[in-house]
Amino acid sequence: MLKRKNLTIPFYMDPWFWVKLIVFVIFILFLVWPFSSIIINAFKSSKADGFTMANFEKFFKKKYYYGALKNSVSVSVVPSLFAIVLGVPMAYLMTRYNVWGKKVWHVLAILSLMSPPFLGAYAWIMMFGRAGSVTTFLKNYGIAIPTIYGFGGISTVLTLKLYPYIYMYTSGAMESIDSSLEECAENLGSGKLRRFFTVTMPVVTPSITAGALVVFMSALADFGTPMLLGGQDFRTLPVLIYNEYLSEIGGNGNLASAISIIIVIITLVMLLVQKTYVGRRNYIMSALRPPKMIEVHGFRRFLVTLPVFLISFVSFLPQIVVCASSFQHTNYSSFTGGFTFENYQNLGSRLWSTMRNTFTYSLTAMVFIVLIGILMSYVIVRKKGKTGGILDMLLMAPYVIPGSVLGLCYIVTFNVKPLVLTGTAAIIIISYVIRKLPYTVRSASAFLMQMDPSVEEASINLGVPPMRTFWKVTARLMLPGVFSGAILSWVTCINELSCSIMLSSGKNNTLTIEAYTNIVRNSVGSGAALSAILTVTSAVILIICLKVSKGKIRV
Amino acid sequence: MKKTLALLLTLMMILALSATAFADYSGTLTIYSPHDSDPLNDGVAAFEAAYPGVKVEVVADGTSNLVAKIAAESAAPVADVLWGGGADTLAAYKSYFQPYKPSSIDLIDPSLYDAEYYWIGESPLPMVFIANTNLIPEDAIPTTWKELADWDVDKYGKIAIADPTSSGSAFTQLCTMIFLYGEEADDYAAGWELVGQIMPKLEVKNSSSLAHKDIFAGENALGITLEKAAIKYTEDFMKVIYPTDGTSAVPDGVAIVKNCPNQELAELFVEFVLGHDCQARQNAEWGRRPIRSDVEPVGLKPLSEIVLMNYNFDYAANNASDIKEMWQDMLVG
Repeated sequence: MLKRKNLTIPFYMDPWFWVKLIVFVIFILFLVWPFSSIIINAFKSSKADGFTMANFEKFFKKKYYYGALKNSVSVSVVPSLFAIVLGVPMAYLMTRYNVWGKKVWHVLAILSLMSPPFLGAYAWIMMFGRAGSVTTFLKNYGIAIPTIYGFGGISTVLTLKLYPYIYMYTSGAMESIDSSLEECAENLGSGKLRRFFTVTMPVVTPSITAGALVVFMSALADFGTPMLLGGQDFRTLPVLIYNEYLSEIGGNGNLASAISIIIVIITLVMLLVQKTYVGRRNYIMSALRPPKMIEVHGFRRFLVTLPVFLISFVSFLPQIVVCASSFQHTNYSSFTGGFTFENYQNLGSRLWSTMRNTFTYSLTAMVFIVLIGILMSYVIVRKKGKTGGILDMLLMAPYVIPGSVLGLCYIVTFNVKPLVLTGTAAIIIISYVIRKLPYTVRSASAFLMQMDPSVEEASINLGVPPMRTFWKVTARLMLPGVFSGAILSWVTCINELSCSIMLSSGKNNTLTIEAYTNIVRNSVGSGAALSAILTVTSAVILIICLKVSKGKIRV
Repeated sequence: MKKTLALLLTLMMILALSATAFADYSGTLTIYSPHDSDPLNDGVAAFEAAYPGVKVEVVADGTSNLVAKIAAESAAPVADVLWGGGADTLAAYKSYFQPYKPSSIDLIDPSLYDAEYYWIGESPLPMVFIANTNLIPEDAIPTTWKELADWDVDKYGKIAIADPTSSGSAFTQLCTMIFLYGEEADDYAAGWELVGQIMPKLEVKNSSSLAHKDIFAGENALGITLEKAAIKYTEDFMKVIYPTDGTSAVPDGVAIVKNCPNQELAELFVEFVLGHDCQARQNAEWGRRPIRSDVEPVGLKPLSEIVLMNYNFDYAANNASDIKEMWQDMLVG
């Protein structure tokens, strides 16, 4: 009787209808509308009237362009695989063993994710370039290391930068495995390794693939690394888009739009593959009994610590190099050694306004990201169906549109009436929300997927209205997942460059923009100092988050 | 009584005159500039000191981002002036600027500004080679564009150059090579032939500053770059070469953004940048080559001692996309 009543309520009485509607409006206003100009442009050409496929024809006819497509796919697939090789074992060791200095490695892994790409690649060249410090040091002993330029270098740098995604997604899932499953396997006589591959792995696979997808997309859209390490022998699609869109001698915006669409299509295909794969293997955990930590001592403890230390330390190296160089003297555009504080003294009062901008913008964006993120992941996971599917697609779109392109779309769309936003802080905050929401939704959905719906069902059956059940029960249970994602979103907001630099009007500069501007304007000392401040600030806040939440919030 | 009246009138006239002379300019001027932070901050500070009522907002970024922003904002412009950016770039984005004929135009060589005054050159930029003598003996350094074709890659590695498809200065370098050895009649075929020979010796850098930074860092032994970047390296092992078979001196320019919010201040700033004081100061303090014939360059090789070629500006501007495509096709073979 009760159930029937539920079925017949009009759609406008269903709170989830309004949630869906609001989320859709936000996405249409700030994503579909601005991006539609790209789609239209892709099918236009300055040489022909009306709609044409000329841009796509040119892309697939000219080796200069289609060669880059091949390169892009290879530097996205390879780092995704290697990131799994690094991330999964690290997650296993960190969640199951009493690794020394656990929190330190954890924070280092997250920090290496945040290193602004333009600076990361710069630091790697300072170490491993042809004249890099490590290269010349090893040369003295007759050891030659392979070049950092081209496919190998880009893949290595991207793997070391992006593996933390896999580590974080996987360790989240590994911690919430119900230990009775593994105990069952053990009692039935299964060995440790077999248990790992037949019980543990299948359960965490959705999280691993979700992480791999994020790695793939980040690598595909990454612009700073191939920009610095590519050169003429190795071009990738984002570099081509940048060159076509932002060419100083007048580029071909139509072709750039066509390339953007090709990137979006590749990502959508990967997303579908991942979804069908996960859809077939979905395991629900009640996570009432998390697995026990294995205590090892002496040499064995050293053995479980060593790989974790190596991975997180190497990936954090670029930041160490940048922080160290911020204390060096500079001439014109290069570091010259010695020790000095002058780079910091030169920053002056402008530092405070950029700091203030950085925090007000990113924290305001966070409020929206958390709110929208909770609701959206619930719609996507629990209200399976068309709306959820479309939302999932929309959510991934901003992730694959290169930031500078989205920034330009925003300028074109929002500097005319009815909605004039150019030059305001609001437009930067909106771009943060739209671009960084996926981290929170992904993490929250992965968490929700493992949550047994029987808890909410129980609440609803006991007479609590669905929306109240959502906020009182589901949302609360989701909080750890939401916050792990939200902190990632926050951290990437702070480090966002490609889109916000297009939207900033100088007085709206954030720390990252200021650091980048200083480096390209040949003031590398101030650039390094600002980057060091960025790293230290982020580290401090991450540590505070971890301390205050006493391990309840995972990042 | 008459006397007092006359005196009063004269006084009033003087007051009125001085008011126009020192017209209290006020408001906010937004400048987009790709210049290095030192000359940029110094120039803006000097302008603000000269016109205390004017507040200057600076957006500093790479040329490509700035022109893209100006193009995207064209419906409701934010910027008033673009200060800096190579003339090839300014010519490509001409439709987003508005003409302004500055008072000092007679002191500037006509090859250094747009015929319709859409942009005015503010500092000529000869193209040079820069070499790191730690990596290559001085007598092995090429002294002409032509000699680049004989460069020994196995011995000295590749020659650094920025990407002509995205960097304005690298585009100018490519055109310099083409124009130097080809004829317009056959679309500079002989020039392209030389480029074809040089191409295997080149390493294209995606960021234009790397064509000189990487020479200093020792990543490459030789680079093709702008004089203004090359002369910043005062170390003994950094050597600047002015190609003796000729080089171009396409200027950095200044342009007023079309329908800019503050036309009056924009014109004031253009006058200021092209003024004697600013030109002399930018030269003395930051080694930037003056555009005015009445400012003697200090610490720079005089233009008269540099072999200059005839840069076909119109051809470069009108055929930019074909030149770009030709380069891309040659690059991938």
